[in-house]
Amino acid sequence: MRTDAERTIAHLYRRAGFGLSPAELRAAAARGFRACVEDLLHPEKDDDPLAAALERLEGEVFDLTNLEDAQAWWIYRILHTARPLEEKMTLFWHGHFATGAGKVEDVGLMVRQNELFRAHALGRFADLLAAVARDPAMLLFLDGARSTKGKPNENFPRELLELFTLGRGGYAETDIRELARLFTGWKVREGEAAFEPKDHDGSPKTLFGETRPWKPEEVVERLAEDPATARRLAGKIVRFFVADEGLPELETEVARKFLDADGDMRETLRAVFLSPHFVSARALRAKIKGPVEFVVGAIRELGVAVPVRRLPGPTARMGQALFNPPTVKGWDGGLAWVNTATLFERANFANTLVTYRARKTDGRPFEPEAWVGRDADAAKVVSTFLDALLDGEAPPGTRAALEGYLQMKGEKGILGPFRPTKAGLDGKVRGLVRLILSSPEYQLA
Amino acid sequence: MRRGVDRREFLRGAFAAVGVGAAAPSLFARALRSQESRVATDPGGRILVVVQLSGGNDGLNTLVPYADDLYHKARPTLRVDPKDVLRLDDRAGLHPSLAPLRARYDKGEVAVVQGVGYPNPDRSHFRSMEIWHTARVEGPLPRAGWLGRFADAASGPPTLLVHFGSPLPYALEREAGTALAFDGPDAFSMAGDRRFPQDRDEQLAAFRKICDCGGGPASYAEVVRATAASALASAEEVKECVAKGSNKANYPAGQRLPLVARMIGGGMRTRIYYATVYGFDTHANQKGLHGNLLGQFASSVDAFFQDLEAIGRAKDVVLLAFSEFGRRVAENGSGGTDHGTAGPVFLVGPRVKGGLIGEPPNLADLVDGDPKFGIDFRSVYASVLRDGLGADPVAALGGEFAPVPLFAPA
Repeated sequence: MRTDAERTIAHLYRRAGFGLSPAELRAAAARGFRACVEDLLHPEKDDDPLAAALERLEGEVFDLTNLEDAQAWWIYRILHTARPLEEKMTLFWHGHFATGAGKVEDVGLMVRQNELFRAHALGRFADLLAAVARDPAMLLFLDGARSTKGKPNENFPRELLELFTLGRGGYAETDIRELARLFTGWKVREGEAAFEPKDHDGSPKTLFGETRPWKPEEVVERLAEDPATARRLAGKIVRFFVADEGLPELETEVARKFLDADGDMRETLRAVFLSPHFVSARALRAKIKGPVEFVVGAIRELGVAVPVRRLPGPTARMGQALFNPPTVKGWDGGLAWVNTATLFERANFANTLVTYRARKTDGRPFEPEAWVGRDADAAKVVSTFLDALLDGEAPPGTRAALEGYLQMKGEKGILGPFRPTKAGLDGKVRGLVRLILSSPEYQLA
Repeated sequence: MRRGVDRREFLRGAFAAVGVGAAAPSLFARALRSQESRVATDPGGRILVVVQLSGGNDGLNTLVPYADDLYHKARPTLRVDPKDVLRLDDRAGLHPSLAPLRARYDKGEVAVVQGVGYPNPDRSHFRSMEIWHTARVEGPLPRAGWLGRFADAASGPPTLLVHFGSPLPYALEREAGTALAFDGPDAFSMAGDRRFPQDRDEQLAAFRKICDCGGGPASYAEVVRATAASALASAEEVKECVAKGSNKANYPAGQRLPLVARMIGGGMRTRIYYATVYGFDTHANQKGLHGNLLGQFASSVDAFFQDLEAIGRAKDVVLLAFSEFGRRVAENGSGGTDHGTAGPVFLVGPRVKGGLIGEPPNLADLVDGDPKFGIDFRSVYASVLRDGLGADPVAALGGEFAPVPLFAPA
């Protein structure tokens, strides 16, 4: 049985990370909640062995000019990282500054943007925003690279105001047209952002009620620290980390912290995780897992490995194609993940995961005998996996259905009790785990 | 400052929507029962196919005001040459890539409704799409979209509404229950362990029990449970129908309409099919991109009706194609166009009263560089609901909108 302290830590790592294996959970629980929060907030404290390992894999294993490879590369990184919050925030920023490889047509630039999000994952929002405004992938995606003096393009300025900072209602159409003139002159040349002064419109613009020759960096700074931006980001952070429906009291606290801390995301997130709201009944199991969380979480919680190249396809069919969000608004998340097609996709990924039996060099597949003792009965087996995957919390009907499923056909086809024989382990325990991973409760973070 | 309205906010009502609580009947039983109630919907009934042209289709280069000098002045590089335009009258004509629809237009089966929009146009993709999906131009957002409300009024099963791909569009969100999201027949069922094929049915039975043991307090788990129950209840019907139907016509690659033709031919009782086509947000390099998109749209719509004609179902079907807005009259400096306002809507089908409907946009009378709308999109919806589907438009639209005459008298 899991203790309450273990359940709270498991919750923390489902939200701030991508789930823990039973052994990792025990170790984390021994350190305590606050220490775990600080570990998560300070990825730089330890070396990042993964970075070196990945450098070797780049080129040899992953061709980062190919979309599926880039997706597999990132999922590999998420799976194996020692810095889960850094990856979680990288995913958050990818959804916030949603850029699609389909239009950028240069996967290498998408990967570079991903590294940008990672570098700024827990930094100051204004610094990230300034970097995104001159990021080559973004310049191509929202046509900033084609916006010139006398011929401004409104694509980037509109989304900058509507999606990246203030949000709808915080600006007028005239602001977009003024900003379009301001963000002229940028190009992408040989994969690098370049500024061409002769294509920049340096004439005065009316912004924030003031007419003068504004500089783009001043405007970015003003937008990043605007209270409307703080409210919008606080709302997104709370829905991403705490509760899909939002939690207005916490959003107010988080917005205030964001402004007080000059947009520092580490401080902002500390306020999220240490708030009593974070572990309240309104937060626990109050989120639908996104596809990456579902796929990576299942693999991590079972402590198994599958060929990473098999992961981008199902993840995309569940509705989350990395490097290709559906629109510049990113993924809606929450219940938008759930529909009849994506639930079949999740149940079928679970099947693939637990029935993968090949012993290749890249990992240990799911092995029922490593989990189930020789004396285990149905109730015990079900409890073992409900503990590992659902913190031991499942409706009685689910438990009964799972125990019923474990019954085994004996001679003459008569149903008898589960026994941990070869047939029981290979033919039933895999199915049991698949059912738990497919259950409604497991879709919740 | 008004807070941005978010898709998530209408999903907040979702707990209420599955009706969970002490008195709620078992969700799986309910999903199954509503599955049975499909008998109540006429299998030969009228069908609406919606094609959403996402991103803001450039209306002025779709239905080209080729005789208007202001058009040519505003579009020095993007304008369609009058000699290439498929002329419909002495003022307007179709982009040449829409040629596959020309014969149908001449037969009177294509209505092109000009200048469709709404008051105080919003140039945000997301807000404007929300307006088209909910048929509400202001005020609080309803939980259900306009087609979801049609389905609620018809109290039909999940298979009443089918969307291809994820996520479901707001238009199909319902007060109670869900629309079916479907990507293709292969993935729409529970696979099993290949080493133990006989175990698949045992897993399926257990999964049905898990999805049937709801009735707990309102929670996300209950919403997931109800959706999974709908998926299980629909899987067989969907698979059978897709297998039974077939395509004889040739479609461009990657289209959803051939699947719709197979589902109709196979006997699905779906009344609304909804497919989304992306790529119309042409801020740059518009010329080739937009022509390709229009060409694929036109040839797949034509092939779709060929298939329907071959099985004698064309008369039951009307296809509606719309976009969240048109684009700015003046082209930008990137060989593209920025977000605009009103644009043309297409209706296709033998029962449609074909032709050019409404007035062409007046390019001499612009507001912020965009034309004023002529026809309210809700009047188009009202016509589609009343005359296309034989439904009550007021229930689905939440108000009275004078239907535009778009259908031939029966």
